[in-house]
Amino acid sequence: MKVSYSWLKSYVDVNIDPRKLAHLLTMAGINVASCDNIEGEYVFELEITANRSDCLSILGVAREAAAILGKKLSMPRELRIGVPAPRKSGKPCFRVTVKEPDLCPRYTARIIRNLEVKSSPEWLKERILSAGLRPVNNIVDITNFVLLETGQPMHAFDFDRIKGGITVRQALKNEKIITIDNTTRTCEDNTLVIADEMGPIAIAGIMGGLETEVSGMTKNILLESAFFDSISVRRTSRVLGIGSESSYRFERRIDNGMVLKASNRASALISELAGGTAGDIIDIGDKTPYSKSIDFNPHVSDSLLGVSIGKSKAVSILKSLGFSVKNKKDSVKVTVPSFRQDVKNAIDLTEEIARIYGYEKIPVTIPPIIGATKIQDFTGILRGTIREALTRLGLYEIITYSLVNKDSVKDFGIYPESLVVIKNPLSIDQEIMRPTLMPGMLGVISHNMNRKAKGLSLFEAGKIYREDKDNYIEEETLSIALTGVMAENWKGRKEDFDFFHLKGIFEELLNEFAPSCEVIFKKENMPVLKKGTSTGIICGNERVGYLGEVCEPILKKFGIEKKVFYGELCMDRLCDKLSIEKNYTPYTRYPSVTRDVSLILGRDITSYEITKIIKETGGELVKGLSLIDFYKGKQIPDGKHGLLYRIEYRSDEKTLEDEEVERIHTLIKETLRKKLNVSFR
Amino acid sequence: MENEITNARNSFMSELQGAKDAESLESIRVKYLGRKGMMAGFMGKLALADKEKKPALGKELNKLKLYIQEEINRKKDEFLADRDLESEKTDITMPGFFRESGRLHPLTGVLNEINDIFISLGFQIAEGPEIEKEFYNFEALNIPLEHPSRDAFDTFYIKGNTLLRSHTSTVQIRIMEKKKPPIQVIMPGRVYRPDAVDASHSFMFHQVEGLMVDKGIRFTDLKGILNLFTKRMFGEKTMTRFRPSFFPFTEPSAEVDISCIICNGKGCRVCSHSGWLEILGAGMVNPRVFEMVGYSPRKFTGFAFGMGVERITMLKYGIDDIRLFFENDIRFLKQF
Repeated sequence: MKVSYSWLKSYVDVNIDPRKLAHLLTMAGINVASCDNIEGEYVFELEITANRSDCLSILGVAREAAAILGKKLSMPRELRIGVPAPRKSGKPCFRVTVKEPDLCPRYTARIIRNLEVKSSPEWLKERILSAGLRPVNNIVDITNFVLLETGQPMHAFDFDRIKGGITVRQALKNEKIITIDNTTRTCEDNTLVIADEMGPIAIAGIMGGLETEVSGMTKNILLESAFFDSISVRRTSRVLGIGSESSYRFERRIDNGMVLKASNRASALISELAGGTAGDIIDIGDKTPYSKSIDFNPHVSDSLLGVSIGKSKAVSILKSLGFSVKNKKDSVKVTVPSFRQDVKNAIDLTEEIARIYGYEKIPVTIPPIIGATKIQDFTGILRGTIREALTRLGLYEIITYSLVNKDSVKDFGIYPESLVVIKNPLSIDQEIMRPTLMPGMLGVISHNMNRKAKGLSLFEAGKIYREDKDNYIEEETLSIALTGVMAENWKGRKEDFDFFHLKGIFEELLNEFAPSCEVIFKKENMPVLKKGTSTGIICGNERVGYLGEVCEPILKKFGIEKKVFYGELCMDRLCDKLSIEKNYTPYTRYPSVTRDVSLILGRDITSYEITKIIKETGGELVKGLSLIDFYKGKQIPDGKHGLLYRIEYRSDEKTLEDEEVERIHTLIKETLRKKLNVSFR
Repeated sequence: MENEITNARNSFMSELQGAKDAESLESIRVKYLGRKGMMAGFMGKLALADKEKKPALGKELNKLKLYIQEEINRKKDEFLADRDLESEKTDITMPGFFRESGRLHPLTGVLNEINDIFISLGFQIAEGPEIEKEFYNFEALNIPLEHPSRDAFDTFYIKGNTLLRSHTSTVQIRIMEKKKPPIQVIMPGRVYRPDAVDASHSFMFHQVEGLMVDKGIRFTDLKGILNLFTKRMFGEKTMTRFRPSFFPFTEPSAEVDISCIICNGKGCRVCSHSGWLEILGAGMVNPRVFEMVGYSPRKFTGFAFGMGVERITMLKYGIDDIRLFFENDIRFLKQF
């Protein structure tokens, strides 16, 4: 809301630098977003919080300024409390019916005859312009002026264009009205309208109709000042997609204590600036303004704030804001003025006192530490530690949106019923909550590859989501992807990432965090992965993840040309198997002996089978086992390949004799030959 | 014999000077220190010397022997150093070699930093679901249905009254429902709002919520904790300013500004020339929220606060577009 300094000054005697006033208002909760000097006039742009409907008026802001500066607020005569409405001078000559008292608790109307519609005087135009509105004519400008001054929306109808009496009612479905912005609006059946015998002439509280608009030809007007229900106005304004200065204020609830006074104020201004004779007021509905009485204990308030403001200071602040205060023994009885419907409890009064007293004046203390000794649950710590470990392994962390395009997970083999679907997405890219981290990861790879990245090693630790019979499940998941060039430097050769680089990362991770669990990599068949490498990760008899090379059709969908190796781990499922505790195991002083075994074998025999036999046969003495080489080529018969394993033998009790090592090594070779039919080189 | 010793010293010195390489040095060493060398010879002669002269001569000889040994070693080191230079002309300006390690996403880094600061102040960390019931997102936090205060909390809906939480304040309720005071906890997490995406808006972002409840927690405590936090997060000189504001779930409520970390409060483009940056929302827990979770507002008081991780990260690193966080360009990720 725009408020000009000079308009403000007409209600309160401020004589400080406007920028200083802007600062003081801001520090009292009336946020001045900007204070601009426009042709010699300072205009404040205010950001009024949703609770302070009273400050959607110049008077409300002036009241704040007066309270802050310790000045008196001077109100126009018609708005002062206790000024009676003009005396009724006969019976009403016009019929108003309110069919929806819940949606329109109060409706006042007044006919003003024989006025002259013309251009407003300069002072009025300036006021209207300073608020960012456009001057139209004296009548419209006065209704806008009073709205800005008091916060009470008003509407003037051209009385002669109203057919018969008026009714405040709900619209019929598809009833139409052309509003003053020259747009045809189609009402819903719960749209509240002001209608004459022919149909709607205004959308209640939001916008008037073009048909009854006040124009240069207008001689007589009907001046409306009403109280429309905030929820109803808000709904209609949203459904029809129109907002106005009026609807903005109705939505935030207006002051019923101002409805009639504002009408009187407008009447007085009209008779001054447009002449005419004001008729009787028609006033239908609930005339009681908001009122609330609160027992308030300044001592309790002070102890919540942690500062001694004291009773007398508290009382004077409340009074300056328009509250009336009666002394009781320890506490005070506070009556809330009708324009402060946001104040309902003692705590609200504490805030009023604190903000005028000044938050800045409230000192700073450090509370005692009361938290428990357990800082973070295991999963949280684990997630942090695993993230760190992954960066050590050369991976960059990414964070992608948890909402994704539904189409991006098509062909992933995911049950459509398990997808968590967003009812009101803003775009197709927000249709569902991700059921896997893969689309996010592939999107990032595609983005970077299109920008000439040569190789990427990435991970994401985040949630995936699914629905299971109205239960929503959020699972902490880890995804890792490798693609393109792994290393290219003068010391080594150029090397691309492959499946085993990815497998190595998973192995290292599980080895570090689940050392006591047996991890098995098992061939399987996931639709998103290439058959040859689609691998399930089994840890302690439970499938905790998968990895493999992403299949062509999926890569194509994301526009990726390079091979991508991708894997996921379900952290929630892994959680009870993981540990970050470390234990020291003493190592023996006895030396170890290494022996190599070079095998030639058929492609159907797996490394897993070989190592299993070596470990089982060698038993306790096999302390280390690694695959040193893999080879194919001339020396190897067709359809076979060579593997070179290095075995480290060691005893915990003694130095191994050569003969003993020889005996076991030979036994291992014999067993391999017998069980797997391998030959040796 | 004294003269012989002096001569030996002199001849050694000149020979050493003349030594060109390790080989000639070795022959000098053999000549003087070898098993049949000059020093061994002197030692033999010493046995035959006069009894009273013996100690002085012995001392002299030892000194010389030590001297020769040291000089030869010194020369040897010189030759070694020279040889390294000679034989391997290493171009030390060639790039070093290392196994590249990755980096944490800047949001994770900053979130870790925030968590650590609050942990050091005695806070625990807790989390709650992102897919929430309407009740936890609104009613329990004193945000009535169809009220303009909901405008700030536009929400993605899933089904019926299930939605994506639009703030982490939901977790406050979940914690208080489960546990009685004292409570001192921070709650980081993802939140969602159907905002059109631009340089400063995202439909998904991260928040950290804080809550402290006990007997006798005061507004001054809130100021104290947040003062410490902003100083640790943004530097010792950072000033903090509390402005009255409105949140349905706190009363009194405050918007917390820090002195602009770009211009030190002088006014610049980033702070819209105000010298201040809005960084946090905070306040004393509204007694109505306590009533919702079955706490007695007479017995307990508390404060709550909330901050956006993206905003803090953007300010900290001078990032001007929120979309960069979710684009994950490797040239961006490598900078943190």
